[in-house]
Amino acid sequence: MRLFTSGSNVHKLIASLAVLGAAAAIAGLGTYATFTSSTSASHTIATGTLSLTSGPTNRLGTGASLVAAGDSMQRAIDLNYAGSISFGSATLTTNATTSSALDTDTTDGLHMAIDKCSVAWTESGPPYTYTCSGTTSSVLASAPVVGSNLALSNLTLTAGSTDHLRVTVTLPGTAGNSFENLSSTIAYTFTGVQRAGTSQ
Amino acid sequence: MRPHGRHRSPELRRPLRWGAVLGSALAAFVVVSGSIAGLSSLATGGPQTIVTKRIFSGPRSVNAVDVRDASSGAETNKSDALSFADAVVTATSTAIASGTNRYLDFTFNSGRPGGLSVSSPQFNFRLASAGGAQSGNGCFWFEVRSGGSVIGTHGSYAAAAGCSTGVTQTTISTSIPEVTSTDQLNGLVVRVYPWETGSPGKTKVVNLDMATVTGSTYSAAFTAYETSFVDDTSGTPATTPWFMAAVDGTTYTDATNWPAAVTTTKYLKLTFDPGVPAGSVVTAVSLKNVWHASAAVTNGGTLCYYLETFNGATSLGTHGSAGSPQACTASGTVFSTDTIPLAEVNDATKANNLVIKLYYWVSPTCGGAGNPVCVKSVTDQAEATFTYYLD
Repeated sequence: MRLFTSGSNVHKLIASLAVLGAAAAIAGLGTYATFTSSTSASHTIATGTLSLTSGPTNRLGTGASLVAAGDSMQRAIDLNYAGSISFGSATLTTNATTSSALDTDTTDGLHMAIDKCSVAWTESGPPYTYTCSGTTSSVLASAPVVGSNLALSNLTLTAGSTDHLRVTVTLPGTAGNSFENLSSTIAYTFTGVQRAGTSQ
Repeated sequence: MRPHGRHRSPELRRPLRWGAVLGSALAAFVVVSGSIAGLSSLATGGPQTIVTKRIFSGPRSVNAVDVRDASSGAETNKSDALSFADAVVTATSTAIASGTNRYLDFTFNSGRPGGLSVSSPQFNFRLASAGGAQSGNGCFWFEVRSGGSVIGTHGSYAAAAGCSTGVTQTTISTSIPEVTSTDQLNGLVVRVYPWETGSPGKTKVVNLDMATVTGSTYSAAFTAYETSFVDDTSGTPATTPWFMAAVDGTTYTDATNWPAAVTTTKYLKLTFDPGVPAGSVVTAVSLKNVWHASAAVTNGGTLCYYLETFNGATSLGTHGSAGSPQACTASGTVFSTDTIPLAEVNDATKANNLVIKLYYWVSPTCGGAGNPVCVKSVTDQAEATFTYYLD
């Protein structure tokens, strides 16, 4: 009987400390929050939205075969920014769902570079090539084809706008015979992150 | 009086500590999560599959292995004695018994594209005892060497890789699965330890007829031919390069002086075996001919040639003519190096069946008082280069 009473107290203590901890956490969060209020007036706070989509141009799903050392592949993709909040930055993460030395050899394996046209790219082919009737700027300098959270430059990022990108994947001319008859499949994920917090 | 609560029992202290730890952890987690959270959105592209060609474009060179000398008007086989089972044999320099550790080194050509898998590789060695009183059989075991390292051993003095029956030439083909890629195959060295099993004190030399490596890449059969042969059966290595293989001063002088006027019955005939896989796209073929006259051509004459290419026995084209030689020289010492594009050799079949006839003559004439002297040709290298790729 004594043991039962004692155990009950223990449970109460644990519960109390957990609640205190949670309360402290929430209080801590309050120190980072954008809004605080000490008045008794009520107000409504509604968060914004942001959405990053691709298309209508998206040729990244078009692969290439019979690639030789020195060959390059151009593929266009449009990134669309939507929502009520603008983007602050964007990154690209690529991974190989089917892997070979084409994606694991960071020296002689596949490399990619991304540039942007101020207007939609003019496509010809296949094999696809693109020309820009506007102005071009570099979004990503040449880098191994598989990378994580690669920072992208010169994007508009403004809600309601579209960036017209051209991804160029190249097998360097230095790729030797060991790169013959290989296959890699690359998946691309663009991530847009909201702008920095501001006063509202 | 101290508060009762200050004297917690041990069973109470442990849960108390755990509660504090859990609460603190929860607090830390929520705060940190809150500090890094933000809105984000993803867009995806691909997947994008990229596949490379089976064989990248590149030049692959092989020397002529089958050479026929028709300078007299009748063909004579001057092919590499060690490349064909043709009864043209090479005897070891010394009679050799079992257990001597003396060897023969065969270095094979490098005519295959690198980086390819090799299927069913085997070493084909044809030998026999040279015969004589109380002679026995020709036997051998061998090592396979690549990049200076032994990558496989086949047989021993106690268990031969193969033997002939007496003086009857016998081909022994031994699988060499340690050769897995053309990177190993190109420039492969096979070190053969031969011996003759004749009665003690009566050991004989061994006659060698053929040493080749065969196999396939992308279902295309190939034969790798020796380009250099080292005979160490005497204990002192003696190297014999195949004369067509390299610009090395090891040359071939044709049998008979070339005529005063070109004729298609007098020629040097060269056959190549590049082993180009079927379906390959052949983008360029060329012949490199390194040669000079056997002596200075006097009285303003020159030794000249033009050439004709064949797909087996079918003529493909000519380069030069009697009236417009491909090249001429008056020198009996200075080698001329001619590289001649052969655009008509434009697919794998033509490449694999390529035969070239070089028609030599002394221009404008030779022989007789006041005329240029009639001369032979001296060839240091005849090599064909095939540039191709396979999708």
